[in-house]
Amino acid sequence: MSNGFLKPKNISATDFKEPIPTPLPDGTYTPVLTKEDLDICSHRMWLADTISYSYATQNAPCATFASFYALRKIYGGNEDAFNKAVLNQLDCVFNATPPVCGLVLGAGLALEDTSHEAGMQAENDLKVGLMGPISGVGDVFCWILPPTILGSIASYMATEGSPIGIFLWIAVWLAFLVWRLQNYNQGYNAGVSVITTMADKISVLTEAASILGLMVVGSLIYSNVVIHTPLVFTYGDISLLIQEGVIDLIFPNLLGIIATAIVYRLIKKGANLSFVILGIIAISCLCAAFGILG
Amino acid sequence: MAVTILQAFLIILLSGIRALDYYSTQTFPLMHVLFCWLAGIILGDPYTGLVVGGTIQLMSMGAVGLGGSSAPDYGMAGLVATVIAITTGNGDISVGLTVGIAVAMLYVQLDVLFKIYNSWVFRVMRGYAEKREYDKMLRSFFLSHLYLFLQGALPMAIVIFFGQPAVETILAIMPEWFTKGLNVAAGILPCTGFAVLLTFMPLKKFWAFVVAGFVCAAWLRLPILPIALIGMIVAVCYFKLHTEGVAGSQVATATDGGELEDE
Repeated sequence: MSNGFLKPKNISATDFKEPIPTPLPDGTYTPVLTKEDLDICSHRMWLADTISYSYATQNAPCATFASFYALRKIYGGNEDAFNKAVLNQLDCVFNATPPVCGLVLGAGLALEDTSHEAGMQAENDLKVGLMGPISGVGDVFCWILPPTILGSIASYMATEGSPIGIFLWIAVWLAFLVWRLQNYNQGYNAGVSVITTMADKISVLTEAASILGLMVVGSLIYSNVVIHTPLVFTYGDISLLIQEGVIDLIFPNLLGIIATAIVYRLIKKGANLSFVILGIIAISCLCAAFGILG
Repeated sequence: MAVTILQAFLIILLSGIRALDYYSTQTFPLMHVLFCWLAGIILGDPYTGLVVGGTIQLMSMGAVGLGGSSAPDYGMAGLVATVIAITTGNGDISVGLTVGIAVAMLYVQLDVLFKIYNSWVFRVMRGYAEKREYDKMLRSFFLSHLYLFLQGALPMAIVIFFGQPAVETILAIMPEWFTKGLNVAAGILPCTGFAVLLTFMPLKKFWAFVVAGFVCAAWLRLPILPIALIGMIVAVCYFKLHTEGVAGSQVATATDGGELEDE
């Protein structure tokens, strides 16, 4: 059986000609999904990611789009059950870091593969319950660490005129992409019990990842937030550069820390980021005009 | 310099693809420096592309729309900045950066609009699903892709066809304190990204590691990679300590689950 990249060849979206699956004596069903079917889910998720993000059901359409053909195969000729499954996927709020969300969605499909309609509620609970923890880890590993570490290496090399850092970043990310293009399998094979009992570990993993992230952020606050004052302190014959002679000796880039702390407080209190940025530009212009900063 | 039709087409295409990739395929996510470099190559000045890209990348650090929030789109800013810097042809990239950041901030509003538009796409998809027209349902999914491509491409088309004269007019009337102020702001602005990032992270519990990272960079003068590795060492130790500490209960629940599965 050969498959396309995004669609299994032997199944159609609309013709329900397959036999209706029959339950085993204990009410469960024989699992039908193969590695190829789950790979297709991962490929489709890659095409979808967070493109359908809406304020209504967030990424639910993406999850539906990804698992569409897997559901088609699970329900076979049972058109009513399939329709119920698609609507269930569309209506279940879901939003997790796209490159890792296959772990949760794959485990959910494992439930539906064995229990069909009886498993839908448990699948929804799993998705809603785990999308937070998995995103905690995923956001740090996907959206915080690569852009900060590889991004700053690439930026420094780029400002020197060399694109090599960019290639390094692309290489690392593509290696990750190879993994994510099949990650429904890990979720499916691990199954619900493992994924759920991992939840405790996930919170520790999130915290560990946050430690790494916070250290990197701490170093970047020093190197990337650049505030310099040309002010000179004169008292009689003595003249002292405020920045080089005082601040940098006591606490390098103290002004950068103060600025970050102020902005952090403002955002915590719910300030609009656009106004904060406009405010910074306005204050910068004022301070530059009076020679306080420059 | 004047932009040829082919160059304009390629830049607009690049801008659309970048916007699309950021939300859908995420193959080159947040790689602003890459796209600026590509734009530079298209316009025949890769060096300026790299410099603008590197600067924007550093400014954007931490500015990620996590959990569905909207962040200024520095990728768009970078492309606009590159185009402006190369087409207006003066060595000063700060003007390009300024226009780029302005565009990025307007772009946030488009992002909100996009998420509202997606609510409509969702209703369309759900309508087809109810009517069991699955082919149409799957096809209407790509309405979001189409919109996002246009969201990246159209503003770029405006910039590339009308940007140069507009920027030159602005340049002519812009007072010196304003350009100076923008240079100062470019140094301060990265703190917004970090601040937003910190609100998403457990700062209360682990604030000490921010200090540790700062100390490594400010006094030990370490580059970013060794600092990240030290952070990794601490993270691994923390993970080991905490998972082994609760190992007893972990094993118990794991075997419970295993037994259930076996039945």
